[in-house]
Amino acid sequence: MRSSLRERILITVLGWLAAFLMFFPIFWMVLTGFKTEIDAVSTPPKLFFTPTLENFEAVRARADYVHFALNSIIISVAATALSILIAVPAAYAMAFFPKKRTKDILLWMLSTKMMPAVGVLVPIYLLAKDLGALDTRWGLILIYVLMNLPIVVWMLYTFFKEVPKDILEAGRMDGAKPKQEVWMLLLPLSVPGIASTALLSIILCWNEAFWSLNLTSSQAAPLTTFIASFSAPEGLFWAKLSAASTVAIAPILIFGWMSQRQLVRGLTFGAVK
Amino acid sequence: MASLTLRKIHKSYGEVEVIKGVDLDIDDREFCVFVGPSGCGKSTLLRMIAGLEEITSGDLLIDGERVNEVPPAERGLAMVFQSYALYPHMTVRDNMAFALRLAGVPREERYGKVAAAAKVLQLDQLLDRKPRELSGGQRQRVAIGRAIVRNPKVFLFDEPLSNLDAALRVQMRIELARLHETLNATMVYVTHDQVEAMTLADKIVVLEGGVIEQAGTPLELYHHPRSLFVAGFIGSPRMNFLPVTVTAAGDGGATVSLPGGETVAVPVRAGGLRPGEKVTLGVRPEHLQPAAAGQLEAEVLVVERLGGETFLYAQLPGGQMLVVQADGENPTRVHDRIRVAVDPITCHLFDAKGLAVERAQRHPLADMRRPTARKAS
Amino acid sequence: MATTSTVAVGAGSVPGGRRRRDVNTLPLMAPSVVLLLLWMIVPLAMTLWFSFQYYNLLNPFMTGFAGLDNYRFLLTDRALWTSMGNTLLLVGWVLVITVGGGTLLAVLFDQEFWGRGVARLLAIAPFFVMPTVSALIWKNMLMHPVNGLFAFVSRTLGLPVIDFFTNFPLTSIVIIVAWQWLPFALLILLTAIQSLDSEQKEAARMDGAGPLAMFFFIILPHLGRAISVVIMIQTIFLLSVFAEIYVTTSGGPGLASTNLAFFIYQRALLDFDVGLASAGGIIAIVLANIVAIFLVRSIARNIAD
Repeated sequence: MRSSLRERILITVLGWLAAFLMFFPIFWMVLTGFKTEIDAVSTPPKLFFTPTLENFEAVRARADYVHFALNSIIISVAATALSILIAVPAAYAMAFFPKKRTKDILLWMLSTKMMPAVGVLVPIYLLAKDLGALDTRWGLILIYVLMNLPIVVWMLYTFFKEVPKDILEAGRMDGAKPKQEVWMLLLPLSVPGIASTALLSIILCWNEAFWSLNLTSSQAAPLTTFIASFSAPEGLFWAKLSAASTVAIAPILIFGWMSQRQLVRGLTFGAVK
Repeated sequence: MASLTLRKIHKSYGEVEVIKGVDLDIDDREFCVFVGPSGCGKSTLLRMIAGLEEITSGDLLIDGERVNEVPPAERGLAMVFQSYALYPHMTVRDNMAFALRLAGVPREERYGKVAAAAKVLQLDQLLDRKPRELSGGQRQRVAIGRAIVRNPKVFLFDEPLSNLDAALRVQMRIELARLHETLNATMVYVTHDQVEAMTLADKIVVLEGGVIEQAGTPLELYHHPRSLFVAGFIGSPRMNFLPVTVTAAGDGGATVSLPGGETVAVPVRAGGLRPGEKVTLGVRPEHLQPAAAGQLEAEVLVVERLGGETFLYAQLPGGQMLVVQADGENPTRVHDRIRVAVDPITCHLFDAKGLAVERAQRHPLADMRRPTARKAS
Repeated sequence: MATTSTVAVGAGSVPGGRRRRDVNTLPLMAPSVVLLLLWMIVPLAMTLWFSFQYYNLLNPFMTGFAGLDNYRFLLTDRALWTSMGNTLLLVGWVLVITVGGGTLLAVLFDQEFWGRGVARLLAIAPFFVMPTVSALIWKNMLMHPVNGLFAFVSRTLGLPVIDFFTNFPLTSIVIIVAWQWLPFALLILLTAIQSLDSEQKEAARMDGAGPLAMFFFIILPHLGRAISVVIMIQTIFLLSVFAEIYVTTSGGPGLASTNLAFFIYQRALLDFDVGLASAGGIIAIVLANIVAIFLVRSIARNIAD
C-alpha cells in the first residue's frame, strides 16, 4: 500500500516543521552570533542583516576560549577512556560468566546513578578541597569516571551479550586463552558497541554542568563553566554570547551528527533488540 | 588417527540431568552421527566431547587417554558450528589460520597450510574476503576449512547444514562424504535430519531423553530397529504402526490379526509372546503395495504425487492412518477404497513396552561397514 | 574440576546455551565495584555525619553535635517542601512531554518523506547542546520579555507579552528541559519503532487495522520496553537538573523554580551552611531512592534481561 502523493507531501511538511521547531533555538543562536550587538537586540528581530565576524573575533580575543575548549576535550576524552578501561572487565565478566548475583550487581550499579549529585556535593567539595583536586582536570576526570561508570558498564554489558557465543567458543576450540579471547575476538567484535558507548560518555561529560560549575573555576574549567560565566554580567552582550555558545557547542554537535548512527545503537540500552 | 570412547557419561545442570549415562565407542576414521529429536542431548554430548561443556561424571577417552580435564584446544579436535561462528573481523585466510597463529606457527607455514586447505575446498579465490561477503555455502566451506587447517584427530560437526537451503544441503552432504574419504579422519556429526544421518554415517547413534536408544550402521537401524522410537525416527515417511493382537506365537514366527480381520504371520523370534497379547505391527510405507488381494482395506484421503513415486494417505476402518508408497504410475484418487498388501517378511513387531521382537533373519546388509573404518584397538 | 558446576542455571537458560565455565570473576568485577562502592559510601557517610553537625563555614564558632536540629529546621522549612514539590513537578512534566512528544515525533519520522535524514539530524540537535547554552538561548533570545522572539511574536499578534521567567518560572524551566530531552526520547523510540517486524504490521493491515488501530494495538505495545528505558534514564538525569535553573531563574522568583538540587546548592555554597545542606542532601537521597525503588524494581529488571 503506497501512500499517495498528497499524504507524502503532508508528511514531508509535518516532518520538516517538527525538525524546524526543534532546531530553531539553535539556528537563532547561531544567527545572532553573526549579528552586531545592535542588530541582536533590535525589535523587530532581524532575519536579514549584514553578517559580521566581529563577535567570533571578540571571543577568540578572550584567549581563554581555547583553554576552556581544551579542558573540555581533555576531560571528556580522558574520563571516557578511563571508564571504558575499568568497565570492560566487569561487563565481560557479567555478560559471559553470569552468576546468581550478576543482575543485582548491575542494578545496584545503575542505582548509584540515582543518587542525586547535590546530595553529596558538600562532602565531595570538601574532599576535593582537601585532596587539592578543586579546579584540577584530574579531579573532574575522576568525578566523571565515577559518574558515567554505571552507564558505561551497562551499555558494554548489553553489547557483549549480543556477541554470538559460538564465535568465542570457536576461539576456544582454536586455542585462545581467556586474554586472547578478549583481545583478539571480543573487543574487535564489539568495536561498534564500544564506539557508541564512548560517544555517549563523551557527550555526557562535555555537557555535564553540575560538577564542572561547582568544582572548577578557571584552571580546569571546561566550556560549560565558560558559558555560564557569560550569563551574569556579560549576558547583555547577546551577540558575543551567541558566538561563544556557538563555538562551545559546535564541536560536540558536529561530532554528534557525524556519529549519530553509532550513537543510536548504544542509546537504546538494550531496550531494542 | 583417533578413536573416541565415552564411558558412563553424565551431564547435569543443577538438578536437571540431561545426559543420563552414555557408553559409546567411536572407531578410528569412523563417521559417527548423533541423531535425535531436539532436546535429546545430542548437541550437549558433542559439546562435552569438544570440551565446551564440563562432564559431570564419567570418562571421555581419546585414543585411550582420559581427556575430561584437557582444554578444548589441546584435545586435537576441530569443530564446525551450526552458525559457522566465523570471526567476522578477519579475512577468510585469517579465519582459517587463527588456530595456527595462536599455536605460534610461523606466518609462511600458516598461510601455506591455509592455501592447501583452500584448494581442497575451492576457496582459493575467496581468501581475502571477509565472512560477510560470502554466501551461505561459502561460509560453510570456510568453517570446514578452518577445521581442516588444524589437521585434527577428530572433526566435530554441530548441525552444520541446517542453515543451508535444500539444494545446497544435498551438495554439501556429498562434499562432506568425499571429504571424509580424502581426509581419513574420525568425524562426529550431530543432526536432527535422518536423511543426513543415513547417507553420511558409518554409525548412527540415536539419542532420546539423554540416553542412547540404539547405535549401529544405518541399515542395521533401518532393518533392525530396537524400539518403536528408533523405528519411527529412521526412515521417511515414517513407519506405519498398527495395533494388532497375537493369535499364535512360536520360535518360527507370530501370527497377528490385522484391523479388518485378516492375519499375517511375521517371521520373528516370538518365543516370548502369548496369544491374545496386544502388540504393535510396524511396516514401512515403501514395503506396502496396493494390490487387489491385499490384507488391508482403506479409504484414500490424500494423494501426494512426486512423479517417480506416489504417497497414499489412507484410513483404515478402525480410524488408523496408513501411508503407502506406490509407484508414480498409480492412478488412485482421493476417496478411492483400496486394498493394501502386507509382505510379512518386511514387518516388525513391538511388544507392549515398545521394544522390538527380534526378527528371524538378519538383513544381509545390516552389518556392512565401509572399508575405511577400523576397529578401535 | 570434573564436578558439578556451581553456577545455577536460570529458569530461562537452555541446556547447551550460555557456557558454564567456573571462572573467578572477582578480579574482573573488583575495579568497577570497589570504585562505585567508595563513590557511594564515602560521600554518603560524610553527608550523613555532617547532617548531624552544626557546621557553618561563615560561623566557625558554632560547631558540635546538632542531633536532629538540621533536619527539624529543614523539615519545618516551607522551602524544602516547595522545592521537593517542584522537583517532582519538573520530572513529571518533562517525562510526560518527552514521552508523548517523542512518540509522536518517532511515528512521524518513521514515515518516508523527502529529506528525512537531514530533518532528523536537525530534530535531534538539542541533545548535543550543553544545558548552560540551551538555558541561555531560551532565556535571552526566545523568552526575554523585551527583546525575545516570543515577546515579538506576541506583540505582532496583538497579544499580551508574557514574562516567562517572572510569571511562569517553573513552566519555563520545564519547556527548556523538555526541549533538551525530547531528542533522546525521539531517538530511542524511533529505533524501537523501526525494529518492529514489518510482517507484523502487514499482518495487522491484512486484518483491517487502520493507522490509529495500528498505533494503539501494534506500535504502542511494542514500544513498552523502550519507553521504560526513556523514563528510567531521563529520571536519573532530571532529578538533578541544575544548570538550567542556575543560569535562568536562580530558583526564583522566590522559590517558584527551586528544585531540591538548587535548594541544597543554595544552602551549601551560598549560605555556607554545610550541616543544613547535608541534611538536605540526605533528604534528596531519600527522595531519589523512593523514586529509584519504584523505577528499578518495575522497569530495570525487565530491561536487564
